[in-house]
Amino acid sequence: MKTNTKLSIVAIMVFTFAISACKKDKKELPKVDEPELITTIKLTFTNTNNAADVKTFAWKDLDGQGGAAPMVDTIKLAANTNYNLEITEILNETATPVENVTEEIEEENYEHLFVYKPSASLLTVAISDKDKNKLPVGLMAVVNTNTAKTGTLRIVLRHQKGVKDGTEAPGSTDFDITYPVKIK
Amino acid sequence: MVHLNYKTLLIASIIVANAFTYALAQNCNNLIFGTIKDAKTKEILPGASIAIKENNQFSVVDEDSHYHFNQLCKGNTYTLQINFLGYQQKQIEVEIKKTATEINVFLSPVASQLAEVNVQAQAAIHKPLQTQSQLKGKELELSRGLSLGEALKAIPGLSSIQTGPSISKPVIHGLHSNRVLIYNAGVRLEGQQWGSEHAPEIDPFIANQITVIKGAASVLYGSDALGGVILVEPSPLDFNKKLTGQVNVVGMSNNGQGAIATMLESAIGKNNNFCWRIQSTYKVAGNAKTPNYYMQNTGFNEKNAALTFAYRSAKLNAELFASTFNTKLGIFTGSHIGSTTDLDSAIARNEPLAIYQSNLNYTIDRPYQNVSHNLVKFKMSYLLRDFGILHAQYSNQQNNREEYDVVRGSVDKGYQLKFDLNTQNIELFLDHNVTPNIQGKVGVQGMYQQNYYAGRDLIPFFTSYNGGIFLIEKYTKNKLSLEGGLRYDYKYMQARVRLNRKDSKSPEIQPEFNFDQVTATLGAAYQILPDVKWSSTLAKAWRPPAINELFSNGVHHGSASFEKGDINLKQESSLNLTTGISKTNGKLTGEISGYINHIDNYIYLKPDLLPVLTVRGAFPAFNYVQVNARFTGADFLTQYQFNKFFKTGVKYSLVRAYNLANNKHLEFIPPDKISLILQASLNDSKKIKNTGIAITINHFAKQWRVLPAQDFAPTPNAATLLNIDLSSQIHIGKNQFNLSLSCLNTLNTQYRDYLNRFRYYVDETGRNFILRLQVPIGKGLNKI
Repeated sequence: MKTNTKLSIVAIMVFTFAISACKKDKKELPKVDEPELITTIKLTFTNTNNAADVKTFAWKDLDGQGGAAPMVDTIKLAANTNYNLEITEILNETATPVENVTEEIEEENYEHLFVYKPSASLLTVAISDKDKNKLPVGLMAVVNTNTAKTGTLRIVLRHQKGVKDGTEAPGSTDFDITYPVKIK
Repeated sequence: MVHLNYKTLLIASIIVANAFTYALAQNCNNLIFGTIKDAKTKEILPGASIAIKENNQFSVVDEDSHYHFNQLCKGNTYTLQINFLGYQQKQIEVEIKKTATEINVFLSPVASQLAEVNVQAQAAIHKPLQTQSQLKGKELELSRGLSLGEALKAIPGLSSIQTGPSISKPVIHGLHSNRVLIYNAGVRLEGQQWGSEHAPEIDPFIANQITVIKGAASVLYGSDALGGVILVEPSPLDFNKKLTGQVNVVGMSNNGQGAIATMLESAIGKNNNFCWRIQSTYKVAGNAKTPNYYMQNTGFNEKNAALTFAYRSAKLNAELFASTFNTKLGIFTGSHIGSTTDLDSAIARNEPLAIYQSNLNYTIDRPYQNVSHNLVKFKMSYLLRDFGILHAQYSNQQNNREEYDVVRGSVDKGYQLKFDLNTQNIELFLDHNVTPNIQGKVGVQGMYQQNYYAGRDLIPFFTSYNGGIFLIEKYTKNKLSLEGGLRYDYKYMQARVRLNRKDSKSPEIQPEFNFDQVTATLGAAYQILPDVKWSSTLAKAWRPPAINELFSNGVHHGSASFEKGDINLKQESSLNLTTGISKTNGKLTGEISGYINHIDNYIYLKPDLLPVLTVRGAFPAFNYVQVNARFTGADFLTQYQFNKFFKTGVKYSLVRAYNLANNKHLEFIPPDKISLILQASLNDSKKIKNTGIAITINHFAKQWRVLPAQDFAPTPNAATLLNIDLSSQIHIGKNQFNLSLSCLNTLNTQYRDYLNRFRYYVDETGRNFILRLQVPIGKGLNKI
């Protein structure tokens, strides 16, 4: 008699278990959400002596991290020339609609720093914009090229939330890209 | 002369031999025997078990209700512990004065005075013959306030992998995470084991004993038990007690940690057949400090509670257990790296940037984790006449984990990654006595799991079903125990992912996986001397590949590496031989054990020659691949009691782990560790008892077996640390207050630990004073 009661409890438990195990899993897969992904960066160079001489070079990795290798334009500039450099587009093209990260970085420019690292004696980069704390940002810069030469330009975006002090070290890297450069 | 000499020698040797035999007979060739019967009816109780606590001798009475133990030493006092289902447990102390001592035991049935279906009576069947160690009593008390991983480091053969000061995971014989099982109050803990930064969701305050089974134990515990099993065991419920309890208070100087843990329990009902227990723990800690600086954002807080409600009658025991574990823990800000360059520059610095050094505060910012784990368990044990005890258990666990990264303003409203893992287990098994000498356990287990995620794609949705059936039998006769077991497991898993995981419009696919394996175990133990026991186990274990090993595809930010899973991975299977000898009595005690664990299809991350180029720069790539691996090692512990006041001990453990494909040492294996312990105690007075000091010197060797090419940074140098513990018990009336003061890393030594993943960024924590007080509630003395 008592045993029956207990057995029925066991049976109920088994049943509950079976039910919960068999329920259909209908939950939708979440949207692809890679926070802070940057797929596309576009640099625009404007010749300071000739406003019509505008050149744009892109760095693209449209499938995000891994997968196909990034496609990188070669930066081609004239020798011994001054350019105004602007980072015109920073996008996440995997998102729909395409996420424009540039605006966000402009808004939070006091937490971001662009660091320019040209290869030796190729060109010089001087950051020309400042944040509210009078610290450099780097969305805009002045570039002076030297004599004809090939090399690379590495650009690092540092995210320095609450720790920005004008130097590169604090924070973490949001992007770290390298363009081939040809000056002739 | 020669002739005489020969004769003298012969006579002398006979005398010596006789004297020796006589001495043996005098000392340790004595016997205890008797019967075990019902106190009222005087009926015999075949199947009742009797054990000698001091030397672990164990016997189940035969059909004449008779038992006996031999090889007992004259002058010694032994504690007999007698258990029989439906009867009250009994303990009898016996001093051996003559060659044969008769002790007849009468047990009272539970009908009049209820005793629980004794946990210890079945302990011999619950736990395999294998090498095992326990953390209990004073040792456990001195670990109060530490995490599970840290607490278990006191056991030879155990270490912990850490992710900064707040996350710690236990390592057994060089294996961890998915290869170590944790049973929390009898339930297989199913948290998110895919990552060394995922600490086990366990509150060590609920345990009054933590048992570590070293080595493969899949037959009894299921898949994944390749390295071993950790059993977190609450104290058995006491159905005879009125309201009692205890409060533990712990304070730490290093990170300003405070912890308070409370336990209350009581029997209720007219016949004392109900019992409840309630436990709660609150912990809060600020930034931890290395010898030279505080580590920013390393505080944590933890809120846990557990409730037990139990019923028992002569034949039935039922228990409902529910627990909740909730933690929020900060991750050291200076460890947040976005690229390989970040990692390299962090390694190049001797200490983190000044901006990541902090003061003592309790603020937790991004990055941090919010983890909760809720468990409900219902368990019943039912006495079946002529069969044994039938156990049924159902458990439901819900694990939620949220990870908050340092992100730009637009996305920092919530978590970046969230998992919801539900696990339901059902098990049914029968503890039985085939003959008085053979006890065993036969059972089935089932497990259902469902995982969802939100945010970043790391681990896909999956549903899995596991089923297992096992049989394990133990034969005990006099000094010999033999154990054999067999198990079959099957696992089905279905994942749900997009064909192209980076494209929301890509169609969903549902890859399916099937794994199964037969495992077996064979063990033997032999009582060589009354207090010396040899044991050996040969066991197989297995592990299906974990979801992260199948599906990882992305940058692992903690280690700045690009990890690629492989959906074609096969299951791991291991063959593990452990053997050891232990001496439990006398001035010299100790244990030595050795093991070989051969793992086929060992899954590990192999560096890829080509780095993966991403927007954050080039990352070194790692692929999950399978090789054969062999882990060998030894654990050694010995203690010598000089006199009443002084005791000394040595612990040593080593592990060697090789990838058999290239004969290179595997990464992330604990270096050799040696500990020297000196203990002194004072005479007890009426009010102050068990007062003592323990000085422990721990030395970690450098892990030089790992080649420089196998790591981002050279392995840390050897380090020697000094720990001091002072403890005492104060008796006021019938109440016992336990008080202890420890100082960890007393010399404030600056060092880095090879098994800490944050060793690239920061030193280990410096000096830490820990003050603990245990206060009893109610008139009962605390149990520890």
